[in-house]
Amino acid sequence: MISIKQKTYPFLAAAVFLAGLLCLPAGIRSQELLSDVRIWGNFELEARYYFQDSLIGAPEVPEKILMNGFANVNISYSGFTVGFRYESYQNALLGYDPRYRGNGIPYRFASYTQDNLEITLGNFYEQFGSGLVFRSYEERALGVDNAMDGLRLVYRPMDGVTLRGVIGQQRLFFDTGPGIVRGLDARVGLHSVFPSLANQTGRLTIGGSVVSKFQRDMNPLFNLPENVAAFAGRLNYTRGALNLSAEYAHKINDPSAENNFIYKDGHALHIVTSYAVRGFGMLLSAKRIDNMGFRSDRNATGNDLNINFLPPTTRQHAYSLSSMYPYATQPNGELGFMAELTFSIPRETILGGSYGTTVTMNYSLANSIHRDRIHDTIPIGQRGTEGYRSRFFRMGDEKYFEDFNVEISRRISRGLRGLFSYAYIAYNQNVIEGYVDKEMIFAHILIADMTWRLPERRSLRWELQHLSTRQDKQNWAMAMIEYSIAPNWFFSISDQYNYGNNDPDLRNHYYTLGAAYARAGNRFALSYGRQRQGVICVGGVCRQVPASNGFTLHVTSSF
Amino acid sequence: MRLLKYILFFLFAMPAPVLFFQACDIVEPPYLTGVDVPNGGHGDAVQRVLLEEFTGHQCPNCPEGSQIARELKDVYGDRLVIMSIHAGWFARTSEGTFAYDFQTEEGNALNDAFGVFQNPIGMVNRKDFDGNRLLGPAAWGEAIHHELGRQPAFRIGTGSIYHAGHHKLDVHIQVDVLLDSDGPFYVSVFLTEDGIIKPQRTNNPDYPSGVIMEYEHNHVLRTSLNGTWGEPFGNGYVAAGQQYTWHYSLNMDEEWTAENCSVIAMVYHGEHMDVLQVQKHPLQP
Repeated sequence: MISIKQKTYPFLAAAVFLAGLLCLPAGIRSQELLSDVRIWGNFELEARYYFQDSLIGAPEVPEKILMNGFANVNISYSGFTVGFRYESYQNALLGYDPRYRGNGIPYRFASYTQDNLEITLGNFYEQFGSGLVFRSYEERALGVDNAMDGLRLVYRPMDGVTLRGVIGQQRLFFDTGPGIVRGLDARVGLHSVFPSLANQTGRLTIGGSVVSKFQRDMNPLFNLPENVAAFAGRLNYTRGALNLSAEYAHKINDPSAENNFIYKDGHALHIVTSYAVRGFGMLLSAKRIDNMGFRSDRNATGNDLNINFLPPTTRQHAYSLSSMYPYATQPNGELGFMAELTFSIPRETILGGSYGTTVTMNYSLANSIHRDRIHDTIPIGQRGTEGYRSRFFRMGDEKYFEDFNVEISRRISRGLRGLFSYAYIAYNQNVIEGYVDKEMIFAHILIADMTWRLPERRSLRWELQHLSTRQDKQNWAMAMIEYSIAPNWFFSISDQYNYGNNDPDLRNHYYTLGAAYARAGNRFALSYGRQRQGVICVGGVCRQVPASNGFTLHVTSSF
Repeated sequence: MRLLKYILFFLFAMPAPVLFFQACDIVEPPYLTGVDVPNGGHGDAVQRVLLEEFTGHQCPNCPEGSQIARELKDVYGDRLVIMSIHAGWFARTSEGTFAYDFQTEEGNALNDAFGVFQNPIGMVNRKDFDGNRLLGPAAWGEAIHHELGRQPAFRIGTGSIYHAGHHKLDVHIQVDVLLDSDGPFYVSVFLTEDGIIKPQRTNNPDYPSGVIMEYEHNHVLRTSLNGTWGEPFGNGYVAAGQQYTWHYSLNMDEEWTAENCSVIAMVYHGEHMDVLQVQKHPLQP
C-alpha cells in the first residue's frame, strides 16, 4: 500500500544516543569516564565552482557553486558504541543524484557487544558471503549508500561459528525505501568445530544465507509476490598457497522494473580460485548471473535500493584512459571469466634488470547468457511472463566486454621506477550504456608511468597515456606531471587531448591544474580544469559523469 | 557442553531457511490481474488522476515509458489524464533529425521546479509517494490506482469554442466544490496535442538505427492558458456547494492541429502541490 511516510528526526535520534551514552556510566567519576571514552571520525568537503563550457558540453549550473560534504562522529565506551554521519548537499555536485539535497543525519547507530553477542540498532552495513544475496554498503564516489536502518545481531556461539541476523529498511537518499529486508547468515569453520579436522592443513569454511524482502502489491496490472526470498550457499577452502571460494544463489520469482516484470527465478554462481607464492600468483574467477537483480523496491532503477551485490570478474583500471570504458555488471544476465597471472623476474638477469621486474597479465570476458523463448509467440523478456529459458552452461552470442592487459613494473635505477602497461578493451556500448545504435568499441591503450625519487623527500612522477580506437571519439593522448614534497605539498598538471576526433570541432583538451597541502590529519586540495563526460565504475557499479569546467576545493580531515 | 551447543545451533539455525521459504510468495500463472478500477465517486462526480510524463525525443528509454502510460490509459480510460512534458537534456534540439522543438516555457518551468533528474519519469497527481514525487514508469500503475480511490473534493466542468478562421480558442472552466477543504487552491489550464509524427530515439532492437522516424507523440504539452502555476481561488478555504468559473482565450499556433488538441484543467493544492481533480476536454469531441 502506498502511504506518505512520516518524517523521521534523525538528528534527534542521534542526540538521544549521545545523551544516552553520557548517562550510562552514572556514578563513575568524570576522569575515569573520559579516560575510557574513545572518539573518532572524519570530515570531507568537496565544492566546485562551475563555468559553462559549450565546447565540451558542460552545462550552465544555476547555483554556480555545488557542494557535497559529510562528517562521521563515533564514540565508544566499554563495549558500547554510538555514531552518526551528518551529510550536506548544497546542492549535490553534477553527476550525483539530485535527490541528495539539503542536510540531514541519514546514518546513526548504537551498538553493544557482550559475551560474543553484538547488537546494532539504527543504521548498519553488512555483507553475507560475496554479496550475491545481501550487501549493504556505501560507495561515496558513486553516490551509492544502501545502509540498512533497523536491527542487526551477530552471535558467535562457539569458535568458528558466526550467526548474523538483519532486519530493516534501506536508505534512499534522506529517506528509506518502502520494502522491509530480513536476512540470516551462518558461517561455520569446520576445522574449528570438529577437533578431528583441526590438524589438517586444509581449512574448509561453509556458509549459508537467506534474505527475504517484503513489499505490498498494489500493482493494478500484475499479480506480484509480496515476499521474495533469495538463498545462497558457499564454501571456502584454503590449503597453503591455494584458496578456493564458491557461492551459488537462487532467488524466487521477483518481477521488477529491472527485469521488465518477468516471473523467472534468478540464479547466480561465483567462483574464485587463487594461488600465490613468493614471485608467482594466479587468480581465476568465473560467474554466471541470470535475472539476479534484487531490490527492496521492485519499481526502483539506477543504483537505488539494491539488496545484493554482483561481484565483478573484470579488472578495475586505475589510469584515466584505460578506465575510459569500464564494465558495468549486467544483473539481468551475464557469463564472465577472468584470469590473472603475476610473476617476478629475478634481479641481475637480462629480463629482470638490476632490481627485478614484476609482470601482471590479465584477461577477462563478459558475455550474454543463452536465452530461448518460452513459446513461439512470446518474445524473450515479455512482461508478465516467465521471460525466457536459459541453459546454465551455454554462453550467449553477444559479447559485452573483453579486456586483455599486461603490466610491467620495474625499478630502473636506484631512484627511478617505471610501470608500463598495454590494454586491449572491447566494449559493447549498447548493452553497457543502454543504446541500440552504437558500435562495439575496440580500444588499445598504452601507458607509461615513471616515478623519480629526488633528494629531501621530493619526487617527480609523470604519466604518458595513449588510447587508439576507430569508434566513439577516436584517439586520445594524455600527459601528466606530479611533483610532491613529502609529506606536505603536492602539485600536478595534466591534459587529456582528444586529438583524433573525426569532428575537428570536438578535438578538445581536458586540462587540470592542481595543488594540495596535507598536515597532520588534514588535507586541502585546490584544482582547476575540465572533466570529460564519461562513466565511472567501482566494483561493476557505475554512474554517469557529465562534462564540467571549473574550480574544485577538496578538504578532508580525520580525528 | 560442546555437544549441547551443536544441538542448540542446529535447533535454532536450521529451521530459519525453511521458515523463510514458507514465507515466499511463489506466484503461479496467470500473472496478469483483472483490473478492478476503484470507484472514487461522489454523487455524479468521479475522481480523475493526472499523470505528468517527463520525456524527450532524444531519450531512448522514453518510448518504453510511453508504452506503459498507454497501457494504463487502456485500463483506466478517461479516468486517467496524461500530459507529456518535453523538457530537459533529452528534449534538446539538434541539427538534422531532432531539429523540431517540443519544449515549452511551462514544461521547462515544471521540469526545473520538480527537480526532474532523469527520463522517463512522471508524477501522479504531483503527489509524494513514499518520499518520491517523481516516479519511474513501473511505479505509475500503483500510484494511479491508489489515487483513483480518493473521494473527489472538486468537480471540473469544461467547455470550448474554436474559431478555425482565426485559430482562436475560447475556454470556459467551472469548478464545483464537493467537500469543505483547506487551501490554498489553484486552477491550472493547459493545452495538449496528440498525433504529432516526429522522430524519437529508442533502445528497441527492432530499430537498429536507434531512431523511430515516424513516431506518434501523444499528450504533448503545447502551452498553458493561465500560466505555469495557474491562478488561485477560494481565499484559503472552500466550502461544499461553492462554484468558481473562468474564461480564457488563446491564439493557437497555426502549426497545431486543433482537432488533435485537448484542454486539461486541474485543481491543485498550493502548498503540498497535490492535484486534487483533473479534467480533459478534447476540442474535437
